Amino acid sequence: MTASTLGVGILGAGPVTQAIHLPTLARLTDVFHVVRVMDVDPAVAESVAGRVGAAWTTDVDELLADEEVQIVVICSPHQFHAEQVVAACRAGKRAILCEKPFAMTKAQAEEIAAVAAETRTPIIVGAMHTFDPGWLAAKQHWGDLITAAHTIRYSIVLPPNPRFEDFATEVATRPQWPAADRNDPDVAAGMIYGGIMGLAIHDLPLVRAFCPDFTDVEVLSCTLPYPAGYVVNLRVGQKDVQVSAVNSHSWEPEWTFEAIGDSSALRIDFSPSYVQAGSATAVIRRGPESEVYGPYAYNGYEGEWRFLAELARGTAEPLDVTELIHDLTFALEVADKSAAAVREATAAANEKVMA
Amino acid sequence: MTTRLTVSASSDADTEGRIGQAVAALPMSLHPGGKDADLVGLAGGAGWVDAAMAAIEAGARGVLVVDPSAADARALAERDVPVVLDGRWTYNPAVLDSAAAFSARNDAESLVEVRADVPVGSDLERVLLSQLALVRTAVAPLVQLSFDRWNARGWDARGTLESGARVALAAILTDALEPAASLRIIKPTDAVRLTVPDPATARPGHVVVSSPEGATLLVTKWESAHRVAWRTLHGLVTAGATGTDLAGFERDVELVRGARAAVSAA
Ligand SMILES: NC(=O)c1ccc[n+]([C@@H]2O[C@H](COP(=O)([O-])OP(=O)(O)OC[C@H]3O[C@@H](n4cnc5c(N)ncnc54)[C@H](O)[C@@H]3O)[C@@H](O)[C@H]2O)c1
Repeated sequence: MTASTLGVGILGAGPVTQAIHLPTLARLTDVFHVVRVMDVDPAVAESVAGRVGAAWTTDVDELLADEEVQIVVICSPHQFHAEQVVAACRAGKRAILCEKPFAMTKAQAEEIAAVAAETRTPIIVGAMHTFDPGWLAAKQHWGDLITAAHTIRYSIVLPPNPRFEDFATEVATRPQWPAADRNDPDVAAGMIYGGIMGLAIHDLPLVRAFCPDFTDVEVLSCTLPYPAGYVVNLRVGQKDVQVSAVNSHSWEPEWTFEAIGDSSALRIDFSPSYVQAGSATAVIRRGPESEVYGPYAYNGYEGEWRFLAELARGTAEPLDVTELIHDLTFALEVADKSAAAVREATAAANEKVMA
Repeated sequence: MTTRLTVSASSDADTEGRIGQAVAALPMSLHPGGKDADLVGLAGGAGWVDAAMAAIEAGARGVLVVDPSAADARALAERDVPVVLDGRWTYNPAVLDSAAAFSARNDAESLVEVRADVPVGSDLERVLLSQLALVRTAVAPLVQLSFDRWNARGWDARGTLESGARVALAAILTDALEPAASLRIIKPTDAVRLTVPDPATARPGHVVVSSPEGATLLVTKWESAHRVAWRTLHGLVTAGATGTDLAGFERDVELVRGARAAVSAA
């Protein structure tokens, strides 16, 4: 820690702080130091703060009042994100990183936008793939693909998180998920909603980048696979989109994004979450010829922190908060309509069994 | 000793199905023949059933149809003559080699995904029939099919297998990607992934079986799908068997007609 490095305060010290942000910050000790860690669980706060020689607290206000905290990173559960972003803006911090999702309702997002406009606090959302050097390189080279692409595919085969968390750190505590009856339409709808807002949300900003008419969303079908995940067929404006994920213990994790047109196509293979395994690899194909970008030495987690440093130092233009709100409202619409589709399909299937 | 059979093919069939190359690569089993050849290769465009019937009338002992289009083939099935339907992917050796791994994982908790990347301008219905044949050969036949979308860029559809497994089917028309099919089954603990290239070359398909213990690449075979199809026809004829392609095809055609009718009605 030196006076010239930026002071970081962390709200919420669960697996994401432990396995993602602290290991990323360990790669950037010449840029940041952790000043204070807050968690509602004092044991977690103390233990995680102790790993980086930071102070700890269970009180959000105490962390925000700490003048040495210049950057706030919000890693609490979803429902607290919006109020904590607003509080951090009001506390006059230099920059904020809010883990995805930014908020859980459009109203919350609009409140954030209003406060951020007033306090001029730069905010980024932890959609790390939007900061991945592989994605950024593709963006520079894809030419007219935004208009040319007619088909968008975003597919995840998700290994159990602990497999990768345990490669990245030694996790202090882990949340437990109760088992639920997926034949109950509300449970099924909840699983889909949670899947879209918790997992799909990562790259829905990438999908949206290829869908200029992103407010025109039609869910054609939604399937809930075993044990969890989602398979959603969508029409977004003129684009044919499929967003899918399946949780599986199998040994080939996959996280891909594709945008396909008649004569050019992009495919990005992202490296797994949690681990510092370098960037995504982007391939732009035009028939038998292809251009490959990456893998680069660092991933989107490090990318977002590097950008955060530039924001805090005033050397980068802040992101347009309206775009972050569009990302959120697009995700909410996909989540709502997909959940409704699966609720209806589950209820119909139950009726068929009864009949 | 191998029984050598003679082969004749229409020029369309020869071009589409690279029949000359397949025959040349099986010199002990097959040999080019004339009008009275033992085996006949036909293109799968409109009228292929009549052409096959005519060939059988004229004495053909076996028929191979390249990329068949939807047709009522019941009359043909009644003739006790072996017919091999050389769909785009069915006879790639990786497909047969994947079948045991797929069927061992085919149950109500399985998600099957199949996708075809095909050139712009492809006949979508023929691609769909090839895709259904692929799923039938590697996993099991679909028993239900409905379309979320069918347009000039491809389709997205959903189906089920007898086991209750759910199937997501897609075709994407593009010249940007190499023509290929991919099929995978994903389960809570394991997965099987098959990729099948276009049959124009002997580039191999790949099968990867994956579980918490690791992922295994099955044996890779550089044999073109067309060669395997001809080898299969030769085998059926010499064994006096008829094969199951027509029966499967009939069910697929029925499924496609029902699902397409529902799309046009909507
Ligand atoms: N970017 C990524 O790759 C990625 C991956 C997984 C999760 N996430 C996001 O990160 C966030 C945290 O995820 P996690 O897996 O660590 O979650 P978690 O729920 O397991 O842990 C959150 C921590 O926050 C604490 N907490 C609870 N209420 C709090 C409050 N009001 N204020 C502060 N802390 C509070 C909990 O005690 C816990 O230690 C979630 O919003 C999640 O969506 C991001």
